[in-house]
Amino acid sequence: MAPQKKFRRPGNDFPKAALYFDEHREGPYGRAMGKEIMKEQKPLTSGPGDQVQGRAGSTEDNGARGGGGRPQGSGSVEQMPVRPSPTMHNEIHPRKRRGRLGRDVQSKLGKTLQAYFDDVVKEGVPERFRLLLQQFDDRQDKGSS
Amino acid sequence: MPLEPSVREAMLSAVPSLRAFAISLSGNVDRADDLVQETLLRAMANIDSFQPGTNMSAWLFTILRNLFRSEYRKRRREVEDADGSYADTLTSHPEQHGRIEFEEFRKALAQLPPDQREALILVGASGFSYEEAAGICDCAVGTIKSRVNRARTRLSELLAIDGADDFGPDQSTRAVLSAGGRR
Repeated sequence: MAPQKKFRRPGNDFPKAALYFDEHREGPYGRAMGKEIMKEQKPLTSGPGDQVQGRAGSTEDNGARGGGGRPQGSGSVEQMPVRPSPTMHNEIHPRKRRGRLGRDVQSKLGKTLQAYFDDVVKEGVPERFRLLLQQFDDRQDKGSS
Repeated sequence: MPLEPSVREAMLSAVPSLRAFAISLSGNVDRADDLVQETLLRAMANIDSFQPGTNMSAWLFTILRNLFRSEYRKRRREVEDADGSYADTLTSHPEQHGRIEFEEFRKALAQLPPDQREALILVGASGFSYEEAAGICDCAVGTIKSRVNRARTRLSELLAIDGADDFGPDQSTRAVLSAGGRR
């Protein structure tokens, strides 16, 4: 409770409320201004002040805010709004395994990959490439001579 | 000036791996052979830029990869191995691959993004280290590791591999083997 009261100090709300004041009033931190702040704050019923009041008195406000506070009285349980199903938090979503292949799977994948290309590699060097190098050499020989 | 015999031999010895790499990239044998030929021509024309003592194979792979990249941009819309010519050139070895059928593996490999596929083939099939593969692909070593990892994971997902047993004999064969072991 103590930390919430801390946020209710008029000083904390001062900069916001000060926007509505006349410049001719007493200085920005003057006493009269402080009174005006209090007056100006009253209409702001939808502000955080309701939460504090609700905690002290009725529980309706607590329910309207999605069950943020605890019920205080004995009859408050009936007035509690329907909360989201608690199973929402209890459900275990299995994590998708990513990048966690076992070593055996990795090595087998590698072997399969190599086996897959064995046929190409086993073909050796096609004749066209030997001829290509030979032609290059011949051309270079003619050029140099 | 003709090629030095050692350089010439190094080039020729790299050709089979280059072809396999080119086929895996292009998915087409004819296009792959053209790529290899273009690679060799470029290599011979720029042989002065090759530093003796360095890895000839990696140098050739780099040229081929860059050639493919520039060609890939032009032909991006073409379907890889649309006629299945690549599949026809290779023979199936069902006894080697176990449950994974040859055709499934080929299709799964073709579904990988090009950067992942090339990383996987360079490291997993061509025998390059991560550092060498990074040099060929002109990227960081960590990037190559990440691509290889993602490629493996994706392959295992595509092939529905959960464990090493999936590579072994199929269920009926295993049943026969286990029955034979009991006798």
